[in-house]
Amino acid sequence: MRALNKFKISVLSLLAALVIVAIVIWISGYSPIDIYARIFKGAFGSKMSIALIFSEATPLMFSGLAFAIAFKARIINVGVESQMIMGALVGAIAGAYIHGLPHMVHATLTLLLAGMSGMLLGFFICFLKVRFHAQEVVICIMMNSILLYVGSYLANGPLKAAGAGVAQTETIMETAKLTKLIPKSQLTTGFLIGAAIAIALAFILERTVLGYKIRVAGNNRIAGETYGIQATKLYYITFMLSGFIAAIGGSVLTQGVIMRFSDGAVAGYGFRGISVAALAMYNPLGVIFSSSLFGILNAGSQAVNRTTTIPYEFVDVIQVMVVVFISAPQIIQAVEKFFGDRLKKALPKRLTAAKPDQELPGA
Amino acid sequence: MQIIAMQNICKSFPGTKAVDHVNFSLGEGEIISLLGENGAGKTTLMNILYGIHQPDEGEIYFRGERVQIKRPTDAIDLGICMVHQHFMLAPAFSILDNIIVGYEPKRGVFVDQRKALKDVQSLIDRFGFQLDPCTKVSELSVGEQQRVEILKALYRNAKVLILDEPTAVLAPKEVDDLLNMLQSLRAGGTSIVIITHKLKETMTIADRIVVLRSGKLICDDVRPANTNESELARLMIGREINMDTRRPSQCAGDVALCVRNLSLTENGICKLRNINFSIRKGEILGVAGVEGNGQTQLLESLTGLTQADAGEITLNDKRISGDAFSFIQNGFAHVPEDRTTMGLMLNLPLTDNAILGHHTQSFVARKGLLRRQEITAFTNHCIEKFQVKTPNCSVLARALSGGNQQKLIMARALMVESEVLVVAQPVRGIDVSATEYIHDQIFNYRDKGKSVLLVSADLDEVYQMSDRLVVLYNGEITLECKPSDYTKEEIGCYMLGVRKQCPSRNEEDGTAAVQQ
Amino acid sequence: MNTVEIIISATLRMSVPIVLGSTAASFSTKAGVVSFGCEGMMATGAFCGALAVYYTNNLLLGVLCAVLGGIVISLLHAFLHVTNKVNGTLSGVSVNMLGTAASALVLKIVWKTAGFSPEYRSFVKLADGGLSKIPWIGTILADQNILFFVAIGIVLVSWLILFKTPFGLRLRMVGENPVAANTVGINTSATKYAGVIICGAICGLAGAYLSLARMNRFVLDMTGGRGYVAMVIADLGGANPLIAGAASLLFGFFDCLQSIFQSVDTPSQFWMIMPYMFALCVALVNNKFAHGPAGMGKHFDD
Repeated sequence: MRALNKFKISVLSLLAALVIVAIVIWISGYSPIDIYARIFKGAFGSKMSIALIFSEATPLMFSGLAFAIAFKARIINVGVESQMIMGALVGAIAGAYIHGLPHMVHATLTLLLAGMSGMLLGFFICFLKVRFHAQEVVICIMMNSILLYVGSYLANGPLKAAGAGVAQTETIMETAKLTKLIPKSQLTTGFLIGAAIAIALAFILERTVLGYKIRVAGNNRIAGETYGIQATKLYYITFMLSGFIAAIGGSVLTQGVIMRFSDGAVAGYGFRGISVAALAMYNPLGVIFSSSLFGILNAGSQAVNRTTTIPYEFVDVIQVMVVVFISAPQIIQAVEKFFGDRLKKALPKRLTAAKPDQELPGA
Repeated sequence: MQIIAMQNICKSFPGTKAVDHVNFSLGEGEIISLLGENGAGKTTLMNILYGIHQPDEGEIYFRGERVQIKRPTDAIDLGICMVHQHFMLAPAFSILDNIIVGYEPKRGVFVDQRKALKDVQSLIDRFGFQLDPCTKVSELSVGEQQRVEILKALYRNAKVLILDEPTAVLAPKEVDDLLNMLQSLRAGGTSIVIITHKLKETMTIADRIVVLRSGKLICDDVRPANTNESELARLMIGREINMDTRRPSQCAGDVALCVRNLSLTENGICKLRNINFSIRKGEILGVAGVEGNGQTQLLESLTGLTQADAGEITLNDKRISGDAFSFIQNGFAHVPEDRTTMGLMLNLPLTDNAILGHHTQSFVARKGLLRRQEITAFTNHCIEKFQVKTPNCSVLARALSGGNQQKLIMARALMVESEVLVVAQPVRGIDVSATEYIHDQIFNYRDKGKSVLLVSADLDEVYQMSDRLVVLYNGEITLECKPSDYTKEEIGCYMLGVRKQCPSRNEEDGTAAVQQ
Repeated sequence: MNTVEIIISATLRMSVPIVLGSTAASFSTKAGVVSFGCEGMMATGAFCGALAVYYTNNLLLGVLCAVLGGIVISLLHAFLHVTNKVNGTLSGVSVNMLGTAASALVLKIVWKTAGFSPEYRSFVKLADGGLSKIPWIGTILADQNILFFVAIGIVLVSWLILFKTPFGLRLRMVGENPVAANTVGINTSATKYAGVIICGAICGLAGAYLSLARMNRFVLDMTGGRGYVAMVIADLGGANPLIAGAASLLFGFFDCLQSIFQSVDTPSQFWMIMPYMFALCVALVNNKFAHGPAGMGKHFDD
């Protein structure tokens, strides 16, 4: 699809999701306008809340990027969750137990170690997929649960912080913590790292041979293989890249927000990343924006939650509906056509002259 | 008494008129052979009778009464059953299940398994099919699977049986069995239409022969007693020889591509048998033949998509083997037979499609980075030189018409000036002007001293384009000659297996001395 | 009851949702539709059933609502995948996410909590009206609740439907070769919808078991990956309800190990991982043993 069309579908999908959820809100006895207004006010209300937008966006951005890059090769990596847990865990270990390094070195090393652990996990999952011809989604889901319990075990047992009442590991050292961008907030350099990765991915996809091959394998595997582009190798590379990014995201959570690994800390970011990637139409640069958008929703709804009894779970439903609409753009297009035709009849002819270079968007 | 009468049937698909004012009739207890080349319209006509397509014009009459056949169930209700070329079976099911599905005998809410078995077994016995209804279809030979398809029709009390290329996939012994069975069906009152291009079987079994060519009815009252295979070939293929569009090579050079003793077996069936040929620089070698005689396997072997079991391929005396990438690196350009499945990424822009296969070329990438400007320039150059109608080079491939898509694929292959061009069905589904243009470009390419292997199911195209041609029948080369040595009808005979050349080779220059 | 009987009884109790889930997945798979949405259908069934019982205290109504909930959400999967030709995996994942999100929302709106709902009435063990007198298995059977027997009934009926009725034959044909099914006059879209809807209904029942029988409250994420496990197990058996049911018992066994070994000095997480490891291994060997229907994911007009 052309860039403009993709953007249009993306925006319309979000709008459609908001409308659907507004209906749900209204059925539950609340006023949708009231809630959406509060979300907006809550998000932009203060400097701290704006910082919250981007700190909420950060893990979403990583998981969104991880899912998006995999999807470019038509791989559905729902194992982002497991890779984030892996990264968060390794980050907590490297952050707490490696002594004597200056700040920049320690923090960077921790991130890289975490990234590599995610890369290995991605490699392993891809290996299972290729070797056993199994579906990656099933492997990933099982891996999510397995990693969840492994992390839980470690946080409750061998790695448990001395004297801690809950399941968590030792606090990481100061030298491993990411620098805060706004003091006393949770916004750290992690956001910038994520944005940098997004730019790097966009560059790889559009400007390098590797990115080209990934797009070919994702678009028409057979045509690629007819012309010498082997899909299997690319699946491995993509899975490893995806795991790497997801794991760094997990470690950013550890190093920037939680300062340790605690049981269940990473819960849910993996799946929410799918919504983020979908809304961005799987475009890495778009992920920066879509994750920020969901950051607004998350931050705003947290504020709403503090001051009222209104649940912030509505946001989750919005995110899911976005995925539904993005996956079936025909629905949005049908709706658009339905309203568009009526609009055309209502508006004067001048404003609705057809643009000459529009062609049909592909699926 | 006519059981089926189709009058004035017309059917068009985008770009072609598949059936053009055809009248067709079928008598009770009659076997008709519906003859024609690929694309003559015979399958489309029968698909209309079976309800898969709706005619644009025309009427259908069943036993004198006008009927509307909107879907296959309507046809089946009338007693018209079709056995398709690609079998409509579930391999994991038993023969019994495949036969009764959709037409099950019931006992309460359950399937009456016992009655089904009894009925099917009695059908099998009556016609001597020699099948065990409980066998899984996946375990059957192709001939046996076909019998299951016919059983499906008989089980539904078919009065009219349409068979689409039934002998295309059968071994000679199985063909005899089939023909015998059809004769006993006819004796039982069933009317049969056999869509085919096989002349020998037509002469053996048909009561009457109907010939279609390019969607038009050529004749419908020929009887085997009054004709012979050569005459039928003439009717099917036509006499016109367009000599004026030929462009023979002015100077062919040394032998460039040499294929020796190539053999390939797939799933236990021998698809290529001892293929030997060579192509010089500045020469087009055409491969004629009805689809399904080994062309796909030949193409795959020559482009690295399949490894042949035996034989060797050399280009300029260098042995070539390996995967698709290896062949491309060694100078083979490939225009695949199915452009949408194998040739294009429909949801990517033209720039991405234009460099498919060229990602190692220096003008495309340097040190792993794509050279965007050069790629855009290359794409625009392709678009310009090959007259691809598109607003710009960044539209999606999906937005182009079939002809323009094919032009882009050709441009992509020809612009990098590889040594050998392997091209299959270059103008399938393409309009006339694009066809002419593409053919022109192939000639230009050859005149630069390149070698071209052109595979096409369209004999006209092979005849017109080739400097030399070979005919592929049943995995073997049955003829090697210059187009001027034979008429098209004679070549048609070789394509249809009527005749076979016994070549004696002159090793030095690779030409074959023709013996009759 | 002695230890063996305890283990067997627990296994049976833990297996019910998987048994139901894999039977449900069989219908979807046999019709050639990926059964990825099972998790969401179970979750929806669980909270619909919980809601109904919470408000009406009527267990039968709860079960019916659960089944209905499963059907409604399965329609989304069918609409996306069958009608709109969306990638089955993607639409299934969407359905699962919707189930989870909807569960969380319902918990918040209705019960104003984030983790689990308050208790309500639930299915209990059958009154011991003589069952325990059956030799060998009597005590075990008496330890189950009525839904267990319903589940067995459903497995048997499903097997009968799939393999002995015209509807089942046509459904399987659509899964094997939708193009061929179309040429013999079967409406492939309608049949696929039927497969998905039945899957949703039975998954809804499985969800009802989770929230109304196994526990007497609704807990967030109580499906815990069981939908995916059920799908994987259904594939193992070639989507045959009887085989899948038996394999589900194995999963149930692994699932109940965790509670059995509570007292033993190994971390609980080790046992909690076991069922997923088992399911993962099953997923890996699936390809060797059984192949899904040949027409999986294909449409008649491809």
